Amino acid sequence: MAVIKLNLKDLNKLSGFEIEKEELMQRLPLLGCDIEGIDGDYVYVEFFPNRPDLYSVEGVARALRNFFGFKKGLREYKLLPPKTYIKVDESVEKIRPYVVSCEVENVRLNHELILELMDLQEDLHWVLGRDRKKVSIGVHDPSRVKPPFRYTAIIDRDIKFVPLGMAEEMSPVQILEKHPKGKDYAHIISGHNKYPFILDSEGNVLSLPPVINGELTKVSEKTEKLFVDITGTDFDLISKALNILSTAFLERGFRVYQVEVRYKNKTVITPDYTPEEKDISLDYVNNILGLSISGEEAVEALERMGYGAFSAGNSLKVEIPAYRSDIFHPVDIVEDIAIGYGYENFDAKLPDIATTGEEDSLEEKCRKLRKLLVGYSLSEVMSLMLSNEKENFESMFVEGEAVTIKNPISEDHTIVRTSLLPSLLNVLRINRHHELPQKIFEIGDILIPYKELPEGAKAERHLAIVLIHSKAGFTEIKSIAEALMRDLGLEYKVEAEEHGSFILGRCARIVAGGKPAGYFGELRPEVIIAFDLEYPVVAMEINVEQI
Amino acid sequence: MQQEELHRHEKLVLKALDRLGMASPEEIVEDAGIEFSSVNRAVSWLSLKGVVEVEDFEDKAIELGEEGKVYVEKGLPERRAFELLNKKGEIELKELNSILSRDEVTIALGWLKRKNLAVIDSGVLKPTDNGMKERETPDEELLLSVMKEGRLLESTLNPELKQAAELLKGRKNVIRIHEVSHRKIRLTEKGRKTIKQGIKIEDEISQLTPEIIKNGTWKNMKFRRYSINTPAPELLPAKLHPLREIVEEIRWIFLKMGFNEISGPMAESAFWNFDALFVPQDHPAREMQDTFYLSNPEKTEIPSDDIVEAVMNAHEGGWKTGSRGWRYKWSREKAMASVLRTHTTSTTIRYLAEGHELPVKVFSLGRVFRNERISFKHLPEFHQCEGIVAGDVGFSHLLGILKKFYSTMGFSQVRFRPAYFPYTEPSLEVDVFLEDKGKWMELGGAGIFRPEVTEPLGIHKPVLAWGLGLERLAMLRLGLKDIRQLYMSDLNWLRRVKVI
Repeated sequence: MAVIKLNLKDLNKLSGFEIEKEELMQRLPLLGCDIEGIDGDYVYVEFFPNRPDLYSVEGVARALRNFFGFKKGLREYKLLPPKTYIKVDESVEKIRPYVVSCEVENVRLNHELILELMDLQEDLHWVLGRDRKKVSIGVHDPSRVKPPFRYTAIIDRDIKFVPLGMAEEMSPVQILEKHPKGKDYAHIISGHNKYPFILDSEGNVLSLPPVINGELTKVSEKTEKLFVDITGTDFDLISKALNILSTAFLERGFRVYQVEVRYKNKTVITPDYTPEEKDISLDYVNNILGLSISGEEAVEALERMGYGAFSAGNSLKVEIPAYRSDIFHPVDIVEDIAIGYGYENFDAKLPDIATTGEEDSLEEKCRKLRKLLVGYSLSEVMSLMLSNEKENFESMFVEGEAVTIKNPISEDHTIVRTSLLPSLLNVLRINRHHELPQKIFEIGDILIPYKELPEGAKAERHLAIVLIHSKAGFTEIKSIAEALMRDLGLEYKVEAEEHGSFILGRCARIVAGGKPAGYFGELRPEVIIAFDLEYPVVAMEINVEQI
Repeated sequence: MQQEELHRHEKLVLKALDRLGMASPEEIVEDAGIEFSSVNRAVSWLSLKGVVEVEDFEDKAIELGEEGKVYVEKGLPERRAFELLNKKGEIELKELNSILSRDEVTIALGWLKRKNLAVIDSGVLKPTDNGMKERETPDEELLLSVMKEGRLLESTLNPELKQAAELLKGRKNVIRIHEVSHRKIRLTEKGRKTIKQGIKIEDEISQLTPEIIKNGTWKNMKFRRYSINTPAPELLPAKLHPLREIVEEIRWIFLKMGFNEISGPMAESAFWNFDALFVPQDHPAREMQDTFYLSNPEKTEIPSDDIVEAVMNAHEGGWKTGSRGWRYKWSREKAMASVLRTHTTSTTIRYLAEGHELPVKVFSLGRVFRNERISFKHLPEFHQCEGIVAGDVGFSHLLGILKKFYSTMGFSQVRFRPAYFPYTEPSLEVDVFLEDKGKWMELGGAGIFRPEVTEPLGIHKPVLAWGLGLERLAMLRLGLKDIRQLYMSDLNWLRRVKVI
């Protein structure tokens, strides 16, 4: 998520009213954000991914002006008519079909503003553009290029230019192979024999979207005019990005000129701030929020969130600001009414739904089992389900198949355990320097691949016990196993079992109600040694669902 | 001080001190005829009661070194040399080789000269006048007494022997000196008064035995009064894991509030974990660095039914929910990918898809997995709980339930802040006020499921949902700074941890 560095002085200047730092710190989270830290005149704020319009100090100033009630309702921006155009060639259609654009004048930049502008661009790339796939932005100083512009795709051998940060001309293929940005973003446009370019009327390169701009139009503190191109795969999304960026310029007092974008079949003029209108019913709002607010109150709340709003009877007419990219459904407007109304102003009440709670039967059984086992003087431990082949199989001298992770984060966690015993032996390993005897149990889940289920894997709830001390032996674990069967009132039989982890002839199978439920016995010295232990260990593992 | 307040051993110690005046514990042991540990225990109680005074002295203990032991047996090299000299009157240096090793010859000559016992005159060793008089030097005396006593305290030596000790210290491995502390005990004014009142030592009952009960001797004997403050051995019983206590507490709160418990798969399809929650297929949370994908099983089966189709349509264009949707080409293939569930919401959603009659109040609690590197803050798996209420309810009810839920957990002050989750709208985060720390802490998220989530499942009423991670709560309750401690299962910690 995007963390924005807010310059408080700049914020006050842009919003047009003074906000005390303390008040800001208190109220800002109620607009929807987490305050990450304060450093003198700077506040670091994390805004949520649904509100990229707040990813700039200009956007935050606009929101606060509304939210604090200084100036409410839909903000009217003055856009100046186009002075130039971009012609879109059909050749980009299959590669990256859309472009929108604007020109900016009366520009005054300094080092900090340039950095903020770059941050905003990167945040929009990430959040709206999914790392430039859907949206990529080029901001240029157009003083050395000549309008009008072209958006077209060109084959590698026909074009060369000096990309940002380089001294020499490179072809698109060279850039994608050698330039760091080229390597990062090659995957978005490769697979075609042509590459998309924004060119001026003389064929000079402004950018190779979504990869890199040309050195020719690099923005500096001396820059007085800007030219913006935004390309992508979704026209609405790039339009929102342009609206967010260009209204930020307007908030700062720059002049924004529209640009004509000439597609083959139609011409559009961008940016376009016409608000989308939605009618929603007041009942719908009150129903979701559990409130009974009036139309006026709803309008007031909407205006605090920057909407234009009118109420008539049960109906609300809502104008959605053009920079809002997150309004999918009327329910998104309802949330803004809730925020504008103030979460702190809700009357929290319990619903009239009388029900009785029921435990899951397996959980209930496990709760009772734990009570028994603690009574047997066994300490409960809890361990991770993630394991690895070595611990789960090799160290136990057994073989098997486990649910396996495709993208493990470490060698220790590559599979999900198929048995609890390795987990418990691992606990003994951790405690090997502590006093003996140690007697522990765990009731927990294991997973096994299981094709008969749609998910391809099955969870089983197991119970395992291990005891370690110098005289640990078969009889002791048998006593526990039999006590458990007796306490559960189960008919059971004990039969000879062969199991790779146990000494031959010292392992038994428990058959409860005619079904094998688990096994117990003395562990082989090889297993004991594999877990760095030096004392006899007896163990038991049973499937809780079988008893 | 009353007689009854004194233990038998304490009385014996007082009597011994009365006889000895100031004494060391060893001396008391000898005089009182009770064990060293009993004397020590009695002395510390007596001193607590203000009857005796204990003074600790720092001192140096002198013991024999390896060479020292040899010297005590055979005599110092210079002594052996001098004895030969004494027998013969004077000797040539090389004659020493017959009774001493080469090293000892060097040592002997050095010390004969240093102690002024003999002189060398053109290769011939002659005794001095002093040497003729001297029978035993102080260092030899000291060695002999150290051997006899095992060890000697420096403070007990006369000045001559002290000097001898200094000399011996300079010789390699002859004596060892180390710091010790020893104590002297003496009666206080109160102690002397107590003794003056008379101390009677009589037989008392300490451990009551079946014999004493049966034979009736208890009728004529006194019961010794126990010092109830004496430390008792630590009892470290078996317990439930502290995280389990929290799990059970949360389950209990839900059950008390009338919620039914449900469970669901941990190896899950991306469909139920993400798609059914309106999380678009290119959402960052679905990427490999956040979610564990499985290679076995690599694929799940998802139903070819109305729900999957409705979910697909909701993603692509909003379906009939009134949403504009995410507007991309939804892939069934991606929805079939097999993952370890990243939240318990997958279980809730499966339950909602089963078409239960409303109103519904259910909760689930279980393990969830995130592709996180293990650190003091993060684990790749943890416990999450989630509750939902579906029916004629709204946002204000959600806030009401949350207030109740958190206050039952012991957080009397909660506040709600706007938040964002892809599958709820409105959404909120819950902050609880920590009285002892004087600050707010985030502890859980909540919201109303989006229509794009509920409509495809055939649910047309609001569904309130909230959840929280249990490890965070456990760390808060147990005062842990490192989340790993919960799964290390250090038995020393588990046996001593408070039950909360």
